[in-house]
Amino acid sequence: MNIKRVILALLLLASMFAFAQEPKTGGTVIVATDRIPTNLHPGRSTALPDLALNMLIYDGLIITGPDGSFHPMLAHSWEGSDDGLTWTFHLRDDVTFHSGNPLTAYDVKTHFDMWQNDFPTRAKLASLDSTEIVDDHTVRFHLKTPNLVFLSMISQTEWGYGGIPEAAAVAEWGDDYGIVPASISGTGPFRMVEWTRDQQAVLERNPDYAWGAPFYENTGPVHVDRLIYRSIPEGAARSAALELGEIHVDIAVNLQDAERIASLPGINVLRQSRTSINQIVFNHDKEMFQDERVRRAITHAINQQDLVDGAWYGYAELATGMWHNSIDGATPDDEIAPFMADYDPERAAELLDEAGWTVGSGGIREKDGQRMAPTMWVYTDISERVAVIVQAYLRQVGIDLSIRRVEQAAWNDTMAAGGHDMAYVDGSHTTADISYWYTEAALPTPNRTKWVDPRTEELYALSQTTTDPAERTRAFQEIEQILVGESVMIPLPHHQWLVGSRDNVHGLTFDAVHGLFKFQDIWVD
Amino acid sequence: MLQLISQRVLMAIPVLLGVTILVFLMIHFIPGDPARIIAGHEASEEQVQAIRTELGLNDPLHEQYFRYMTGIFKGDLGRSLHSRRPVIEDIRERFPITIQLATLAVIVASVTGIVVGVVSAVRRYTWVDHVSMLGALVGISMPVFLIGFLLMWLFALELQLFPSGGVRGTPLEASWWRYMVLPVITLAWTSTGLIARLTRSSMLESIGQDYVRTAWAKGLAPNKVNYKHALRNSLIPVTTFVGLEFGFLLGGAVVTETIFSLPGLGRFVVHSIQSRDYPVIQASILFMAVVFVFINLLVDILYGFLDPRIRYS
Repeated sequence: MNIKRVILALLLLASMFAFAQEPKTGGTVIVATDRIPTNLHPGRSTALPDLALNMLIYDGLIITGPDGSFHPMLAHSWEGSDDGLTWTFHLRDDVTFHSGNPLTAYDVKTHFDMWQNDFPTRAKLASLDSTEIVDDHTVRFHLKTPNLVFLSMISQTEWGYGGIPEAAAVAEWGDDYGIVPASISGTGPFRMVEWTRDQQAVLERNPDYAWGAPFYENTGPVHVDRLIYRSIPEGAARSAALELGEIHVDIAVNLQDAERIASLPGINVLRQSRTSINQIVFNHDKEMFQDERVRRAITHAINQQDLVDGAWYGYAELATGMWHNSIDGATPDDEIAPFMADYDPERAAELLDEAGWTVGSGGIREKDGQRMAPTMWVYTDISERVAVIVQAYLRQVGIDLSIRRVEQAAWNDTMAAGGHDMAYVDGSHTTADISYWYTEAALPTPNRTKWVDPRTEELYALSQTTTDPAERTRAFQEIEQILVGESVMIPLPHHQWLVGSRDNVHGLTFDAVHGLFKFQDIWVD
Repeated sequence: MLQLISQRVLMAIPVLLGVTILVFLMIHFIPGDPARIIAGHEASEEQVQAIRTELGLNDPLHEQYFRYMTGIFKGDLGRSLHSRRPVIEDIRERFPITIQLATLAVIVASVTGIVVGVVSAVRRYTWVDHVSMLGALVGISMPVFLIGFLLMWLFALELQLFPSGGVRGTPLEASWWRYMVLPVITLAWTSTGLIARLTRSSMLESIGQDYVRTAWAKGLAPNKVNYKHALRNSLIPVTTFVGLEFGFLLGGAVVTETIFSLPGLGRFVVHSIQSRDYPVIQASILFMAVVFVFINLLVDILYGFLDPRIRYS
């Protein structure tokens, strides 16, 4: 357990009690974001709004809390065998679906069988061999190899693929399950009432709910009658809607508007750390970047504080290492610091000189007749803003960076084909298992660095097979030290959760990994 | 007349067939792989390939096209690769908003545009004419998103007369109209300017014709000369233009739909293109093409009423 994580959790808890007021029952809370769900069958879709809504409608066997450890949900207890090959889960016997039918081991097995065999997200269950029904309220998972990853994969984390839908509803609706609003039956705190595509989903309180995630104050039925999840694609329009009180919460505040709306009466803007990953990757298949000095020089050349201020308008935190420092597997800040490259343009110039890239005509460095003019591929507004700032800094040390902005689909293709020199990559992570991105098995994607290194392979394999948590943590820490120390990529600032809310909304708590999560404590007056 | 209609309907067949082939080829040749997007950020190449196979994307192109066309003739437009929802349902749910928005915008733009254009032509070179044409120029020159945000700022945020976006209820309810006011004005804005300018120049041309001089010479009342003789002839190019503009507004509604959070077809298609959702792109564009052809047919029929020469030839 990471000390920072505990402190974070305690702070969160303290902030909840500091403003403790008796919650009011009733009312509607309208939450807006930029997109709307497409398919609400857990595991079917990787789209963010689907994951967010699944979190409200479904529960998993277990759930990862803000402290990073597993908590009981549909399973009241669980145990692993000594050889680490089987995990047995004991289900609560009082859980019912939104349809009123009881949850049994059959529902769990049906979901895991489908997820493992039919869903595009099945990679998460790579280590699962089979699921066995022991009795109505006991499920046993048989693994192919012992590991510690399995629990993370089936826990309701930011993906929520482990949310259990009602097997009978899935059988009845077939391909239409999760698409037709009436088909959706979970055990979560909210149930689906109405869903207009590209517009809004209307959810209502599940009055029978009594198995809430234990790290919320309220583990029974939620306080609000209804929760409306609305799609407003334009950031400026979302800010206007919040200002007018047409919505209560905006979970993706437009960075450009954040300062202005925060200054308005009746509106709060909450910011919270987020375990995001933003980085600039080097393509190690390109000769220029096979020289560690070049990679290091580029890392030294960029003033990251400028990225925080210019690209994220201040709503980001400087990276302390490659992982967010609240993640299990992150090297403690003071130990990773020596591996990081601070802003030092002189050192950058020295390294480039050493590597044989000397300043040529027009102030651009050259080596063997080749100009130092790499191309960086980006696909979002933020990544383009980052790229423009990076471009300016690299020009100062004699590198002529070009920026290529394409759509995500085309960006994906380029990453797979390896046509890039550098690229901006973003994501978020619950665990350091994302180290997978830097292994040979992840070629051509998601290993966009094309980095293959025997020691990294060894450490990653260890992290996936060990049953000793401390060893797993150490493996991830060493991977981090290699990747940062050899400048395989440039860790960039972590962006934050930025949420605007009207001040009649209470109990809005945040998690570094999951964001809003289950809304169990939310109420309005 | 019947012959004219049947002729035009027959001509639509190769047009629509061409649309299916063009769209099919375009989406398969632009870079971007739907399987990679479905699989998500962390998927391995193996999983991506497995999904490609499941979706039939590894089959030869002509087989995929043939499969798609067979589906169409069976009345099956397929399911979205992402949501797994039947495409026809997505279109059925979203098209009404787009057609309502475009129809209202065309009506507003035509009525306003024609009135302004006619008044300008009749009172040509007076201050009325100059002000109107300046207004039309401003209308044409302003980008849609700018108009949209300006209207939202003024009428939703400052004056709080209309909601900032979304739409609730049906056209039978008064509240529905409140939601539609700003989007309709936004979408109609540019077209109004274009139609006003076109009507004015077309009117001016008619006014200079011999038959109009004859009408004046006969001693007809000015209103009769301007509105019965000159206007009717001037409306033929305007009708063509409005027909084309309607098609353009159907497709061009996407910016307005996005600004005002309307769940229309335009926004849906753009999103589908970004995620390379082939069945959705194909079906939606084919559907739009059918609507476009149908509107053109209506315009052709309208000609018949405006110009007897077309009716009788």
